[in-house]
Amino acid sequence: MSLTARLGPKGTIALAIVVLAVVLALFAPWISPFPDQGAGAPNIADKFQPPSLTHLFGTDHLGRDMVSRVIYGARVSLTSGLLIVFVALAVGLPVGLIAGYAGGWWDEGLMRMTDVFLAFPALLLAVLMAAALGPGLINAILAVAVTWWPWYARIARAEVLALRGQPYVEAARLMGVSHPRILIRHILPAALRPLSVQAALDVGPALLTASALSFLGLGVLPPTADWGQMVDAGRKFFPERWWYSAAPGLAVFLLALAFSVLGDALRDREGEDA
Amino acid sequence: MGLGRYLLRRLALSVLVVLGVTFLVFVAAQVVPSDPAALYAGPRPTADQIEKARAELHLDAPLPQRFAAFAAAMATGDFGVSYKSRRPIAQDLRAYLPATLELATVSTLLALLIGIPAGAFAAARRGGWLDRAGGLASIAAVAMPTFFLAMLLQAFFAQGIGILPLSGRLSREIALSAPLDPVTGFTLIDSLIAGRLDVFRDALAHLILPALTLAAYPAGIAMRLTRSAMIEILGRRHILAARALGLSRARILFGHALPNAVGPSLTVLGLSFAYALTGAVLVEIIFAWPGLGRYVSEAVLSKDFPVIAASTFVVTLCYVAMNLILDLVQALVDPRVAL
Amino acid sequence: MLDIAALSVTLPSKSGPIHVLRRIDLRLAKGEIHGMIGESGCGKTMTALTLLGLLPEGASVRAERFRFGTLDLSRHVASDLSALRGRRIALISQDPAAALNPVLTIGRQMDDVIRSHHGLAKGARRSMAVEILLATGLPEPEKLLKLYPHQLSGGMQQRVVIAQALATGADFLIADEPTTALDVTVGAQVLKLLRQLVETRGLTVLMITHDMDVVAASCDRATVLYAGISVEEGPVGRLLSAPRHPYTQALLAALPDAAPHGARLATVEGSIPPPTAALPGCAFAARCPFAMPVCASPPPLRQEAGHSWICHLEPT
Repeated sequence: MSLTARLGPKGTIALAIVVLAVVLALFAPWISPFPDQGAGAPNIADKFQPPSLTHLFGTDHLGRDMVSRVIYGARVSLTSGLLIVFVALAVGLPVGLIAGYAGGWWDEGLMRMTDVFLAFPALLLAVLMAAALGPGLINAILAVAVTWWPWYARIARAEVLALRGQPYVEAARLMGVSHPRILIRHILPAALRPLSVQAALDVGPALLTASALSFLGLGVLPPTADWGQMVDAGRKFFPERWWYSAAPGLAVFLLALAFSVLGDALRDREGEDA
Repeated sequence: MGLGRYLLRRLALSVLVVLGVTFLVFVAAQVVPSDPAALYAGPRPTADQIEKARAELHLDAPLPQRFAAFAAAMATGDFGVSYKSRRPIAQDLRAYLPATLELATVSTLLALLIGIPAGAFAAARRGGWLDRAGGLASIAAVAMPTFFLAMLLQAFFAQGIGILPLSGRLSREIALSAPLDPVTGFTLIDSLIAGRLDVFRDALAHLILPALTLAAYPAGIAMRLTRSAMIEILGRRHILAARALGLSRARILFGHALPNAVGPSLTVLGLSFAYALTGAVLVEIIFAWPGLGRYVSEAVLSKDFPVIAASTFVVTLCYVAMNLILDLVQALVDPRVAL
Repeated sequence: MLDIAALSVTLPSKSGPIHVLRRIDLRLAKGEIHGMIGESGCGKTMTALTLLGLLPEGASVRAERFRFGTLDLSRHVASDLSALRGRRIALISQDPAAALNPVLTIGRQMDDVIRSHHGLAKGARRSMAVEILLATGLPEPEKLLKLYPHQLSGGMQQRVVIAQALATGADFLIADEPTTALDVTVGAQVLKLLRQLVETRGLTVLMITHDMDVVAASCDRATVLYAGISVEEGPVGRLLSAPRHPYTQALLAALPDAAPHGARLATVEGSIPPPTAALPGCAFAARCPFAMPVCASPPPLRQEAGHSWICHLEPT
């Protein structure tokens, strides 16, 4: 079956949206109608223009074209969503593998540690970490990743526990294959499958959390375009100058929705393969 | 294992977790780039004032000692003083926490009241319009950013058609004219205790929009969880038997099928409350709700780290307590869990 | 009481129609315990579901004659039966442990049935529940009302399920494999109870089973089903001693008791035709030891003193 058929109509549309966002993010300077405004250069003369043919989403309080701002904002949002999940996976996977494979005190200790991280309401821990680390994109990503990795550690551990008893793993041990080798060559690939499905499903929520952080004022600093920060900036002028908050707000919604639907479609497809 | 042993084990685990939480908050406090002594000493401090502040805050003591002091302070509820207002944070927390708890409780109730019956109906008529519409709605609810939804609801209901108040917990007239004695800190309950129906109505009107915003995502989850649980339950033999005995569809759905779905409902309850506690940070700003969420978001803007740390700590404690209670209720309802 | 001729039920599907019931003839007199016997997949459960009006949406139900008591249902079989469900026709489910709701008390489950069929006040409903539970041989019914299903033995659970059916006030009961989930002695008691209830309350029972012993022990008459078709019907005594249809003969011969000690058990070659097949002629022809070329056409109905069957073989 072709990819589009496997994903179904909803999944295909979702994939199209995600691809569109990636393209916009990668080629922002060339695609945006007003690239320097997108990057932050003000244009006071045209401030608060409602949507028109030149400015499809209107302009903000500094006269910057909202279409360009949204396109540039896609860079930050996509990067955040993807990197958060990636970092969380990079930390959670090894922790889970070690906990599940080594067992005993390693398992207890590492799992208690994940318990502590999971005891926090996620957004608050992210706020705490972001406030502690200071502003900036990398700090925001790290702050959210700190709340995310325990989930992946748990999933990885569960997979390892299930796989540890498999005959081929025992056979490898009996043949004298070292522990790390077993982990990497035999267990890791199998554990990675459900984790990558989960990760794909998580990009949307990660994106939402990152935009919540920047809405609060943690995250990238202006004038860099960021959807959450733009919604907050436009809050004072809502709903009279609705386009200011609506454009980035809808952008967050659509992209999160697209990732969510795409993740669902991928998970269903994964289920069929299994 | 027995319920008693399970209870003890969970309690011990919770204590351990709280210790870990304290440590993590402490670590975060150490990472803060700005110099806490300088911030504490006030605007444009002199070197002397900074030194004095440093001594007051015990910043020169070795790390384990500082952690011990920190933990002791947290345990006794001494959360320090806000950098910005110079008021004891514990006082602020006492004032703001009930407002957020009230919001979280009401939104959780809303989420369950909307989500669970919707999920039950969707399962009963699989493939029907309600099922499909509900499916779409719950996917949308999950993807919608909380802060944006809050703005949209506010714009439509308060500014657009103007049937609900814009912000705050009580309208100014009522708040100033006849202030309530705070018994529980929950305006809804306190107003009923005092027999003040006008205050009750006013408080309810102010609660609706923020509570609805916070209920959207959990309602979506509640609907999906209830739906899949109900689909499995409706396929069971005793449901067929009930149909064969001529019981009405409604009675079977709500009287026979739904009571089997208590487990997933408890999970949803926990999730909803947790979501409300954290989402409050975003929603309280928009509705000017005088709760912990707004307190924290303002502290973010003024870089008032002790407030953020203390609030996170207290809310996490509530969260841990709630999870413990839910686990216990689960064990009571389904004895297999404690085994 | 029940007079059905040429009942057929078809379910639509992506790969063509599924003939779940091809030709069912069923005749029950009032006060009779009538067995419906056949292997799994022969249509017993489907017949029960049809009688209860519990067929899935899109099922097509047709009958030449369908009379229940004084009612003529042949025109709108499916919808009319839905109306009768629980009122005049009730089900005694198989596997009583699964048929009872694990999170509701016995009292609540009895009360729900009574409420749905009788407009009585709470106290009167309780007395009715107690009285019916007593009638099914359950001791101390008042205490029972507060218990949950898992606190009762299998035999007691089955009695509760019977009590539920009685509580509907229906006079026609379908007992679906009432003894399969029970021990032999307990099962015998349940059968005895059913016989007693039929006599004292003037009920009519359709007993669905795959077990010939059950039929022999408790039924007056029986119908043998094969591939969704009623192939033989008659008084139980005659059916057991002088079966006419080759399938019935094969069934009886396959019973462990029938085989001489030490000899191999008789089996029937081949397997049941799938519900999707069209079957123009006799359904059993492919497996029948007496098959003839004429069996490719539908077999005629033969009758002999209250005993009827369909077969091309001339009765000797």
